[in-house]
Amino acid sequence: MSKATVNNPTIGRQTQLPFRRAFQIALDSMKARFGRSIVTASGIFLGIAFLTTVLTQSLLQWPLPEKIAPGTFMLDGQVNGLGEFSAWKSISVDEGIKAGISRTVIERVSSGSKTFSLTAIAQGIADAKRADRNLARVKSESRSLKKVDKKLYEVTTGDRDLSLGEAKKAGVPWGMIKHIAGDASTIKQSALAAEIAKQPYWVSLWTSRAKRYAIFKTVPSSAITTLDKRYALTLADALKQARGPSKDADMKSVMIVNHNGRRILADFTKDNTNAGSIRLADGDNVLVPDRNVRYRTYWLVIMSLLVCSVGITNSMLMSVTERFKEIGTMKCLGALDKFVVLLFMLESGMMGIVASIFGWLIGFVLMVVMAGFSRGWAVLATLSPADVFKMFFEAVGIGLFITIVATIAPALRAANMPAAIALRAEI
Amino acid sequence: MATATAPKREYVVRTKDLIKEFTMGGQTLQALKGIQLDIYKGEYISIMGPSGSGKSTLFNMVGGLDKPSSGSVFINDVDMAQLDAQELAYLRCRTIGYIFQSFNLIPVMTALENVVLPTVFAGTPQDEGIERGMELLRLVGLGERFHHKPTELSGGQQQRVAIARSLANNPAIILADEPTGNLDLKTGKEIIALLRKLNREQGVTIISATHDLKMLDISDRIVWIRDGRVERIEERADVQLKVGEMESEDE
Ligand SMILES: Nc1ncnc2c1ncn2[C@@H]1O[C@H](COP(=O)(O)OP(=O)(O)OP(=O)(O)O)[C@@H](O)[C@H]1O
Ligand SMILES: [Mg+2]
Repeated sequence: MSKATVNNPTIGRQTQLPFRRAFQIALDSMKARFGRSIVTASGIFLGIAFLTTVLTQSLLQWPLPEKIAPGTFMLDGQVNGLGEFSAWKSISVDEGIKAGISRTVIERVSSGSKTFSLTAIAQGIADAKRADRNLARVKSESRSLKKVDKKLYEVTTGDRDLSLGEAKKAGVPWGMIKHIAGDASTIKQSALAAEIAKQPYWVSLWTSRAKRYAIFKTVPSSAITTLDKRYALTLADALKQARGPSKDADMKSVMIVNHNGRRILADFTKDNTNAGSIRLADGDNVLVPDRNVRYRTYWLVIMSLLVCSVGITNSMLMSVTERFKEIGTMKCLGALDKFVVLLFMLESGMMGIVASIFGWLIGFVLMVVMAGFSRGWAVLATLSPADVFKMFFEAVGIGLFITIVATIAPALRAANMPAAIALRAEI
Repeated sequence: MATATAPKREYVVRTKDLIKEFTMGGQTLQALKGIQLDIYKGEYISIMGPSGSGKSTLFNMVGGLDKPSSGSVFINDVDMAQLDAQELAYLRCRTIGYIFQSFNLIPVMTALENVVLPTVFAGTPQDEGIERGMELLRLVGLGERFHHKPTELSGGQQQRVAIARSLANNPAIILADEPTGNLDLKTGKEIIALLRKLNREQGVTIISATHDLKMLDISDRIVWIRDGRVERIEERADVQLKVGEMESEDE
């Protein structure tokens, strides 16, 4: 060893470590702390797996877009109902099958004849899809309406005085309550029962509106026109309420199904597909699709990601805190603050990417298998590779983003700490 | 080697009116109350003082690990307060080597990786760094154990690795804060001998805080610190007479 050892100038500028070396150090350190890395990664993994199931479900969601041969028509029942099918062109059954329309649908709409109109096929496809769903909806709605009916029955039988709140809780519309009570603070049960007997549909509409559906359960059309104006709710109002403000005014997917939920008697006039032009027949139900499903999905996704990021922040905070001493040592050895931040970013970034990819994979496969079993494997055909690809990047991108964001604060804190303080840290 | 009689000697560390205050819960504690210290190049300095007297605090100031509340530290006539973060990192990387009581090796790295790490930060090519690391491990007698993790090494061996690491970039100064504090008598002696050898053979300035009276034997000068102040500075010649006294005092 040479004797002239003190050969470094005292002043110079420490340069940033090449990325490759930093990457190597981060990788080694993750390997060495495999257990902890796995725990942190599994937090990300679970979050992204959940997100992916939700995203996959929304890709698989009804209505399933069905495609006719490229360049012809795209049948999408949800957005436009029959609106898009202005061509009244007749095509043969063979042509239809060749174009990719399922035989069952064709048979259903052509009812034995050799040709059918595009409009009919559009309606047929929409029917097939909606019928199942609507049946389920109507069933669940009538279940909850039965509950409401029971409550109303309980609250209106007897002859004690009800408080206004009690009546409202049972599902009586506020307008009706005020109308009966006037200035008094209570209502006679019998008075309420009498009023409800006069306006059964109104109450039923009101109670279901609370659930954002407007439902007429086997409502005679005469009932609709006689809905009490004094309570300020008409069918149009109800639909408007259910549909939400004007933002959604162009939503054309108001559906009419009969009491068994099987057939759709939507009578959209040719030039106007608005809900306003629906003619109700006796025994029809009106279903307004729940626009809140969308918000509920957002809510679920946002909450799960929040929980996920809190978990990751906690993990990263722990993993940074328990390494204060190590960070202090590295700074003694010449590490720049930037390097410390980079080190943690690289570690968490790698974990984020790997965990997100696995999370996506598991979430996707899980959802697809579940959908396949519950709705038939045909749903898989409705997944377009482009959408799946896009969703993959969304999920992994979000996973990576959350991880990085969760790491920034602890990493900066560790990096900016004076080396002396970091070295003193005992865990 | 420089001796006490050498006519002209360069300073490697100088502190001027060094004051460090800690504020905790509204109370201000002065850990250093104006330290004035000049250390010559190639010296072996021991800093002695009771627990809590401010030795470690002084080390942190001299090593650029913390900033003084007032006063200045000069390393090779460079005022540390004038350095920015990058220059400070450069200084820590190349000019100063650190040895701690609790070794402070990176637990997830092998002995060799620990020793090589400072050369990585210095931008030394990998092969060269590894070569240098092996050379240093052999120097401290651990050439065979290079692939062991710190947990697989004894305290004395860990401290040797730490010493090897502190030498990685040929520093002008080694700051050792109680390097033998966690070691038994015999191992402590070996470490002290090793530091002495480095000081003699390579001309590294060694500044060591200690409670260990064995250190006194080999130090060129001993700085006594009490309550944040330099109490007295003794040349070795003066001390050796007293060592016997103190050892008995210590019993
Ligand atoms: N980060 C800090 N925050 C608050 N007080 C501190 C801090 N560091 C040191 N001190 C205080 O400064 C004084 C000197 O501490 P220091 O660690 O320098 O003593 P020391 O001489 O190294 O003692 P020992 O021999 O036990 O290691 C002590 O009273 C200590 O409580
Ligand atoms: Mg100390």
